Amino acid sequence: MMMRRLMLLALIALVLTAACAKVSQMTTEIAADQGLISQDQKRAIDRTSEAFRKSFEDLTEEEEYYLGRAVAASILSRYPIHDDPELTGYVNRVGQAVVLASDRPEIYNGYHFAVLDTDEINAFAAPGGFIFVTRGLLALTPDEDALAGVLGHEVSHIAVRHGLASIRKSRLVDAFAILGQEAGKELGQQDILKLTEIFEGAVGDIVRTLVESGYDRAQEREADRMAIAFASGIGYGPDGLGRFLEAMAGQESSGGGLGVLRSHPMSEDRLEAAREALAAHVGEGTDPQPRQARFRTHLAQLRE
Amino acid sequence: MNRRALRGAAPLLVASIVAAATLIAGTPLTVHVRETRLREDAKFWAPSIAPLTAGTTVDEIEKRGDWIRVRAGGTEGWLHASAVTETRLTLTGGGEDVDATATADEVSLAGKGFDEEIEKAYRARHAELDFAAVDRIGDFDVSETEIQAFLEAGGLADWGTP
Repeated sequence: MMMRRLMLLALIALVLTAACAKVSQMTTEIAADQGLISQDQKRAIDRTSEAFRKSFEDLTEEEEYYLGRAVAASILSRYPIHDDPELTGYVNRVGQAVVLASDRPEIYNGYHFAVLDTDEINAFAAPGGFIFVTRGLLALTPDEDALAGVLGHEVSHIAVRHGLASIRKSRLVDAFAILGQEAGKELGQQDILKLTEIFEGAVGDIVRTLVESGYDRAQEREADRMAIAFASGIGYGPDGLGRFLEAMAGQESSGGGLGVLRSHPMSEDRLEAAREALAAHVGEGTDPQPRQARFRTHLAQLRE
Repeated sequence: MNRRALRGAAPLLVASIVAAATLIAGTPLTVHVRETRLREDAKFWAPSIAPLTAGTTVDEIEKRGDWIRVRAGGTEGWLHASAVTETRLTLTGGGEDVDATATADEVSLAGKGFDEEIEKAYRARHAELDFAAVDRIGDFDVSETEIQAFLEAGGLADWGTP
């Protein structure tokens, strides 16, 4: 009996020092099969591993998707949808092309693009693949390659989970503690209530970052660099994003486009960083001529 | 260590060796997107062998860039690395692991995080939010053939030709 206890302690030590949760679960499974530990003990040990989730990087794809749905709903409460299936379809096709060249093309429910009905020049990427661009932004975009750059920038924010990074860490610590505790059984009403409050707080953190405070400059520059690589990876000209940024800088000097300046701060150093990133892709991109007519056709109404 | 202790240690030793050997032989991976496609080659639009849903476990055979050749059930094919995770998704309640036939819904029933149940509770507190509009955006689908035609017409990379 004493030996069994010692073995159980040794097993727990092994699980706790295992490099990853997968190994620990495999180990507990084998140990349970051998009759060394009971199913209850297996669950208790797996629960301990579950509590190891501690940062936004540990959120699952499904959790990211559900957070993103609520963030998207919140954005839609601020801006109405521009209901034009032709234009929406076109933006989705350009967006999906860039997604294919990204380093995270597959996410829980895929990427989806929508146009917001406002003159404000802005774009938002909610976690889980919901990307919004405004009518004002589209009207300012010079061509399809530039649009690919802009959408690539938003895809990049999702690919590297910038939105999720804005969730206050203590919220996730609290959520993972509840989920770790309850991993072996169904959640009680109190736990659901607490998790819902944490979820609400997390959604608020992301929306504030997206709509009010904006990402920091390092995040914006990272998204710019990635956008250039993604867009040129599928054949778009790598200078598309730079041409959009210059158009936006023109708006800044004329006092327009406040929205995008709040959530995507424009600055000379950002333009400079985009130019530097471009240097790695000089000469890439296919002839833009076949894309010009369709861009004009789809954007014509917005430019009238 | 006496003989009895050695006998006691044996299963643990076996467990450790099996765990280490599995890591060396090929990592078991779990599909963590709602649905992906097992493909004949390491590229999008390579013919699809089978759809794989969230929670399906596969075994890694080899990696080529962002693509992984896996064995899923009795079939081999390619998956994009972003569709799988080394973390296992486990069902709660019975503590049973999600098996290869689990559907996306069954995985979401795991109740192990921010999921449909939490969204339901959140929506009850925020009746002003229009989740139907979010659903419409999420349902907007561009098919593979549409994207391929779009890329070709625009003189962009043709990912469809093997």
